[in-house]
Amino acid sequence: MAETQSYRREVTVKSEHGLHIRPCTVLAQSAMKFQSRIHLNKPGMQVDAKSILDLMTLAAAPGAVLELEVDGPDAAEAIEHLAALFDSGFAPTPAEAKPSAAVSVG
Amino acid sequence: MKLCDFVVADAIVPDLTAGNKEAAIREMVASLRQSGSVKAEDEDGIVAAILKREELGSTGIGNGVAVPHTKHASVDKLVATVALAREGVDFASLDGEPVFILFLLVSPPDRPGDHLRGLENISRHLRNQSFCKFLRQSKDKSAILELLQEADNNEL
Repeated sequence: MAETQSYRREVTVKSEHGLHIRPCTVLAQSAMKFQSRIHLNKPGMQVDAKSILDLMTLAAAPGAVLELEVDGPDAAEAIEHLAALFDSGFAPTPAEAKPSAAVSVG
Repeated sequence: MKLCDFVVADAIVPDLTAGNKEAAIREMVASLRQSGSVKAEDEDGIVAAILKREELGSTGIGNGVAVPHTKHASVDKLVATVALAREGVDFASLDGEPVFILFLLVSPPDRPGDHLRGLENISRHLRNQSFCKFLRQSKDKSAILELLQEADNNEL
């Protein structure tokens, strides 16, 4: 069995309008591809990065600095992937622009 | 910011008749127009902008909830309405399930912070299973309004 790894990294919200629904959707859908537990922290608050509703409660504005916290067997890969999403400002990729196509339905 | 600060009481739709996504959005924007929150001449433009936003990815975010929205220069403050679809509406949701609770937001383009705070507020309550359950059980406009007030006062 793979060992559990833990990583933390500071990320900055670069998307023009902050963490509104679309970035939250992209982030949660990406986080769900990993087995690891993934949290996003801001002072006094920790949310599950796999939940769109949780992420929206951060109301993170452009420029906000948050902490990604990843624990699990694929944590190293997850933190790189998710930090890159923050760096890209959540630019939609073709797959993620059409979530209905990205989500397997049965 | 509280729900009752931006959800227009008169525009609440307790029993959506629309059978599909576009009709649901039209019905909710029409309700905002009837309440005087958006002007008749802006109605079609707002509907078109919301539908365009849906093309980027459905705002049906799972768990029977959708949050269609747009920025539009015709409003000078965040306005929203809530609708209940008793039979469920296919919203091309992320989880493939029909939508029963809809919050529709229209915000001024120059105040993105209001939109974020509105979303924060709505999502915080939608995370609460009791809120979703009681909302779906609310029979009419006044029951929904009462529930929103209770949620604002953290009485759930």
